[in-house]
Amino acid sequence: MHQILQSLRSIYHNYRVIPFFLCVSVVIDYSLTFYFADSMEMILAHEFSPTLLFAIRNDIVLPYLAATVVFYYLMGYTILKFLFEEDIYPIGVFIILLMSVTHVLGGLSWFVLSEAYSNMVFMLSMTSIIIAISVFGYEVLKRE
Amino acid sequence: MLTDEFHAMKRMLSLLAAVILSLYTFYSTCWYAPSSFFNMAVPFAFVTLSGYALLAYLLSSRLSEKL
Repeated sequence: MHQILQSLRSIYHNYRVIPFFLCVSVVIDYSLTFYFADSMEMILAHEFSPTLLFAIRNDIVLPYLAATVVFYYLMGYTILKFLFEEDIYPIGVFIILLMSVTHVLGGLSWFVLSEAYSNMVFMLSMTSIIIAISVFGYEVLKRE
Repeated sequence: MLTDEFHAMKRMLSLLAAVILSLYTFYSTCWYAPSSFFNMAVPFAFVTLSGYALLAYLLSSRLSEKL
């Protein structure tokens, strides 16, 4: 138990590793989408992500996925590197992990196929935006 | 002094990046909800709550300055 906690703590303090969770989660999200959806027509009819719909319509799913993974890693790395050893570092980690969970749950929505569940994923996604905007607003106001 | 400015700028930039990343995640997972009620009410409730929180922060900081 002590060793598990030690490993979790070392992952938490490693700003190079945390963004990997986000990259893996987006791959899981789109893999689950393509695995559980019966056909491309079904994805085009029911998918709520405009970017994925754009990628499917233009047949650029793999380049889009690769670009998203690279973008996610670079952004996550930049955020956590700049916030490392700051008092708001836990907030940065929390936002990134919340977005990772949102992606995985979004992928699972193709298995659950429930309107209430998709609404919950929408709310989770919105929560991460509100937390990020609120902390940013707080920092801006604190400086004035 | 210059180090403090750089330090504050790093915090601001990283939080701005967090806002951009969260907006992109929102766009790439679910830009809209299946329920029209959620599409309308939830963003409105979130914006109201965060506006209220910012207003409360502003008022409390002004009050503490006066005291």
